[in-house]
Amino acid sequence: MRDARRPPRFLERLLSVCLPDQARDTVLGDLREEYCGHARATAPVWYMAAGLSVAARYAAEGLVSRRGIRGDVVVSARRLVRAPVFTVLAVASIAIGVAANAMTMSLTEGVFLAPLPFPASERLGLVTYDFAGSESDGFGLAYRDVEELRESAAAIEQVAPVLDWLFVDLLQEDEARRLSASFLGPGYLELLGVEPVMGRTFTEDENRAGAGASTVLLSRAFWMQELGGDPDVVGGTLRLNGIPVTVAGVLPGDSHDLRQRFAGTADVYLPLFSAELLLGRDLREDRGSGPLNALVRLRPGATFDEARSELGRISERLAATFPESNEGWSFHLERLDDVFYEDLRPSVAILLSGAVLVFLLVAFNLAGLLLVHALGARHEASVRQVLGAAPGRLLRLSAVETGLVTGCGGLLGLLLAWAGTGPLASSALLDLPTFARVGLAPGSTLAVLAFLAVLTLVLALTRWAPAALGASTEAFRSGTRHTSGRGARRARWLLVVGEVGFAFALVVVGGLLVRSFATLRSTDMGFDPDRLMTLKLELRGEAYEADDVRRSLGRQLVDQAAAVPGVESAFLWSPHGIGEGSWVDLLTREGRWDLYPMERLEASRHHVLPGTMDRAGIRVLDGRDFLPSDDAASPEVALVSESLARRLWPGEEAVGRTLESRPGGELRVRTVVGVVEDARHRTRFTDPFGPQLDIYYPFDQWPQPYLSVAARMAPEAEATDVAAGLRRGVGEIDSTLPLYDLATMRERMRREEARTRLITLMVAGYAGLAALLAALGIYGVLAETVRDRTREIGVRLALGARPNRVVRGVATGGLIALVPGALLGALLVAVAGGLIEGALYGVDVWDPLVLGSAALLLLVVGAAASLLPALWAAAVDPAEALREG
Amino acid sequence: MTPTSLGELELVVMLAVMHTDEGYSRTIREAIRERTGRSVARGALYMTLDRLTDKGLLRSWKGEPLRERGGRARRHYEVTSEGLQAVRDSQTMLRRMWAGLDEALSDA
Repeated sequence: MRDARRPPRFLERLLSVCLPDQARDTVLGDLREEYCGHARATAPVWYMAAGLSVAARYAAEGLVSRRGIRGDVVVSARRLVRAPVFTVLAVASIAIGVAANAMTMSLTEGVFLAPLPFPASERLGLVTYDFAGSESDGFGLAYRDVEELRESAAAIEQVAPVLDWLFVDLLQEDEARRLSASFLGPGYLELLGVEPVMGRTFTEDENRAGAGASTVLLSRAFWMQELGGDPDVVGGTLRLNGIPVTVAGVLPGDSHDLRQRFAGTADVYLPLFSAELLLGRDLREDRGSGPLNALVRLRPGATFDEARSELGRISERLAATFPESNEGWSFHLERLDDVFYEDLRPSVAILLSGAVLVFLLVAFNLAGLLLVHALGARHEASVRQVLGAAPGRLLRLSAVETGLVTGCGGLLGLLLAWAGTGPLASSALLDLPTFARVGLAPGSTLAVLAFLAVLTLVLALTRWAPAALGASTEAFRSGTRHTSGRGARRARWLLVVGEVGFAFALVVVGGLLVRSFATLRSTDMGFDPDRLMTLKLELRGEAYEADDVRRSLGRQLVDQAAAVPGVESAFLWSPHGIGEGSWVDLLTREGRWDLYPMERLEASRHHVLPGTMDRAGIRVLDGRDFLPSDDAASPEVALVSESLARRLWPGEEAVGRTLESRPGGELRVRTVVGVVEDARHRTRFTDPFGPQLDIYYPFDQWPQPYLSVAARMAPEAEATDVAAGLRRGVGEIDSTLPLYDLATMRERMRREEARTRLITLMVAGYAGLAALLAALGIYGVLAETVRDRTREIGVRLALGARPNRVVRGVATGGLIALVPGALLGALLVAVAGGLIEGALYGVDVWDPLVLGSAALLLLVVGAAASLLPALWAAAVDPAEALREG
Repeated sequence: MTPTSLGELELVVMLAVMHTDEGYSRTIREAIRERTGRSVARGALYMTLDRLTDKGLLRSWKGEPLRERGGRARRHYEVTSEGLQAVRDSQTMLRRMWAGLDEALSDA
């Protein structure tokens, strides 16, 4: 012995922890022996490096050697089978988390992240008109303004107008069929990169002003379903609105194709200018607002902001040059993907947040469960370690076991998601745009799996660390009983508090959405929607041009509908149906139109026959309903909704007053003969508590070609019989009248509220899961606590403690976690409040009923979760407990 | 009994153990360095010694606790008869592989 020098004690201890038992003495001895041979200054560094490299080698050997990995899997599987409750809970909670997230994320990826499948889609936009001071937007453009865009806007490379959402009637064997039609301007299909699957698109000659109607393109769906996929269709002739046109080709697109939104929702496509012949619309001469939307592509390098400011300058110039037509109108440019996705964003944001919260809860829960389960494992690990297992082996064992749980759960979750995503996305409930082809998205699946892998690693390390670092031998020495230390117990309590917090937040959000939805559903519609069946018709062609013909046909339709067996009463509504939005009229009090333009109000207009208010269930609050004497020969009259009356004549009587409007530039003055209750025709899901500005005109004084007939069915009547009766009735009047949109009002309302209902259901589902997970967490902790304290409880019972006191003691312990948990939850609700506020109607984020119910629910769930462990505690056999100790 | 084949490092370690008398890790490592000029990583040496012991090619035992080792004992190694056989098998195999290559090897 040349030197009494020795390595620093802490280094030696550190190394001793890192080395497996069977090698520890030899390695430490060898290193110490060599230590003296190194210079005093460098020896500790050498010692550290040499020792750690050996330890790392042992750890790697334990971790990666194939030796024994099968054994690890068998041991882990056996341990999991021995703890079925833990295994089932853990696997199920992971499956739930993975499925919820994979589905929600796939939905998001499919709907928001997928670029639109058009060439240079990031440069595509849609131009519409805004009107100064109007709350509505998205007005159409007149053709000459589209031309202005083409000629003057330097930022815009290409412009293609489209006349959308129209109908043409196909006459086949004396039967009229209503087809949806789009009229496409030159370059429209090229801009979207759509090539026909058969035949050709329009030639330049066919799609120029004054070309008339000569050709038509069919949608693939129409061609397949209505023409049986006839291979000889190209070159054939169809009679549309009485005019023969030649089929030029068939456009691609199945029901999932994104192009459908712009180039596939219609049954047939026609050159833009054939609208002049088919619909009798002169497109060329108008300026200002009009029927067209303009699809544009920006020049490479131009930004949407640049284009917007340029369009702003062009609008100003047009308004200055053509004040009559263009004053107040300004171009509105939106990115095409924003047009697609705008409506869906809030819904998906809510769903995504819910799913992520569920995953967090799963992680919390799993951590809690594993901590409990790990106590057993820790004892086993310490035995193994003493028997010489390398720390790496122990980590591997921990990882294998955790991986088995997360792997099974993940697999199950992905299977669920795989089976569920498609149906969910295509379900009418979600009402996604038909183009969105949503399946289990690879990116989302990878993201979820990556998260799961990280979770597995973290959990495996959490379980392994205390077992490997020091606690092991202590646990071994402490005998056969394994109890949790204070640190572990505190960690578990924190997890439970976090879990309760997240669960509370989700339950509150779910409750708010449910309450809001219930409020919406129970909102008084202002009319009676029960047992109401409606259908629509359009009077087209020369035969129906005369107002008198329209008047008598309207009456005939109502009489015919009322005579259908099972119909109690019927009424006419025009131009749209009852409970739907309608065209808007600008109006003021008489004499103020020019003086006070700011006073012009937008009101939805409805044209009805006398007696309609009573049959529709809309109360007349003041004045009277229309009378048969309010005909074309008598002075023009109107009914106003109570909100409109309040806006026009605040605090004053409305009946007998006059108002003016300028439809088509012509002055119309009408006398208000009555004020009716507000009816929610349009705004049930957009602004259900906003003012309902509606104005009603006598149909006889302003007959419309667009009609809706509503029939109130008798309580015992069958909807299908009534529908068939109505169809027959209309056919008896004129079999060539195309009838469409035949449905009951309840069906319409169900369709309308579908998306809201789905989100509400899903978030409520998340909330339920959250409450369940919180219950599992509380249960897990308490069960473990009781196991820890079996001996103590046994002693207390042996000393005469009453079992109900023991029950109370244990249960109180569980309930205490609820208080900080609920506070944390309230904090989360405060943070998330902004996100959901926009989705709530008639209920405040801090709704006391919802908060109270959520608290009560958690209290009940917490109590239920605490009860079982508490009862176990009371059932402890003192003799047994003491003997075990 | 099928001959146990030895990896290169294993063979080197076996030979080094034979060169040292009741060697332990330090002397074995030094023996390798002296004869091959190569330094074997400590961890790799421990792993190889463990593996050869597990295979029954080496036998190990602990010596007396020593002061300079902080009261810890050395682990000594010697080759078992199976180990000797394995070394001989390796030698035979290598000889056969070398046979006839003297000219090529000397050219190289």
